[in-house]
Amino acid sequence: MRMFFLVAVSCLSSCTAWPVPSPPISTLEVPPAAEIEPLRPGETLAVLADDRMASGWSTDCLTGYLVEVLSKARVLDDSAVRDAFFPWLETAQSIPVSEAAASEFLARPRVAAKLRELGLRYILFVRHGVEAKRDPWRSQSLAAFNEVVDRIAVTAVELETACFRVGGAARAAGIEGHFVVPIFGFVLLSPTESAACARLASALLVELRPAD
Amino acid sequence: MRRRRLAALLVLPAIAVVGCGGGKDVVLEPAPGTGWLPPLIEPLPLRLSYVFEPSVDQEVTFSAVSSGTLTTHLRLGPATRAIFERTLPALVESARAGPPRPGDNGSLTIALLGVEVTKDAWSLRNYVVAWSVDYGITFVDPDGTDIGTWKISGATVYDGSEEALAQTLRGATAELVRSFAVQPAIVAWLTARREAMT
Repeated sequence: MRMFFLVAVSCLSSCTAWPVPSPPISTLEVPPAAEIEPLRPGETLAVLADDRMASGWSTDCLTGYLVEVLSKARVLDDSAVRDAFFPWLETAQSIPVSEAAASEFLARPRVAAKLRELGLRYILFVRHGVEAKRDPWRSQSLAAFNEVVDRIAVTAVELETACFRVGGAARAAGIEGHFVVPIFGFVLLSPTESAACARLASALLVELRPAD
Repeated sequence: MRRRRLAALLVLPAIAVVGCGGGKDVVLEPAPGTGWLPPLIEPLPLRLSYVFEPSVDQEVTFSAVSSGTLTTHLRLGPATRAIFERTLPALVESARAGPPRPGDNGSLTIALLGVEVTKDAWSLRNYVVAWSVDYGITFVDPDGTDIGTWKISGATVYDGSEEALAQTLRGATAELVRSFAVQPAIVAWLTARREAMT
């Protein structure tokens, strides 16, 4: 019985040290460039993660918002664009992130033919980073709340001209709660990444939404 | 009574630990075609033959990094053969499996250099597995001269072993395509051949 109380008290004391969950606060750090124009009829855009492991969730989230407004026929998701241009958009190192690299990418005859076939006008490169303030003990525990800041940034490549445009950047700060089940680990509450995604998506859609 | 309770408290966790920690064997043999996609590339004007070294079909055995109790037997032979058999015909005018034949411009020898699992652990939000696979390719002139050897690697960090392996093979396929036409030895050899013909 004494052991039970000891365990219960130690659990409670560690729980009280957790930060209190609160709604995330999102801000648009950099707005998308005004040069990004609405899609014309027959044009599509692609959304691509710079690193699938780090930015995959944010990329899928942004894609979801864009598909909802622009329709699925006009937005290629990460796996569709990687498959279509295999192997030129596979890794962060192979993605054309400079004007010289983009020109080289576009100079490949089969790549250019594929771009025409798809009517692809923009590729949006998505980068996601996360900073978590955690103490070592808490990070090892099966359940915890951490102070987290998520940042999502987008670079738009206009494929007609191989020009790079700032696609915007958003951040969200808040408390993330996680609950770990060995093998099937999952995050119970992760509102910061979705808040940053929603903020950036709404800013991007202001530029990309076709005029009715 | 109290002793029985104490015994149960000690025995039950022990059973759980032994049950979870017992050695297990897992066989991973990705299907032919895993990690392969038709590449968008212009073929080089070359006729090549290619052979696989025995290392390609060797089983690789290793233990999981974090637990050390899970033994994985990896059989990459069929998937590796499929990757090269499907990709090489897209890279050159003609590619045939087997020893060099008259009319070929050269031959390739393909070897599996190694497979590594460097990490299987929890990251901030996911359980991740880091895989890497290395192949060695040797290009030999029809007269037997060694033109050059280069390494292609696939590496990925992913959640789940099988998906990580598929992505790793895909990475190796991508590097095979991207690296083939820009290998200094092949570029120099092609340039010399073009100059000799003009």
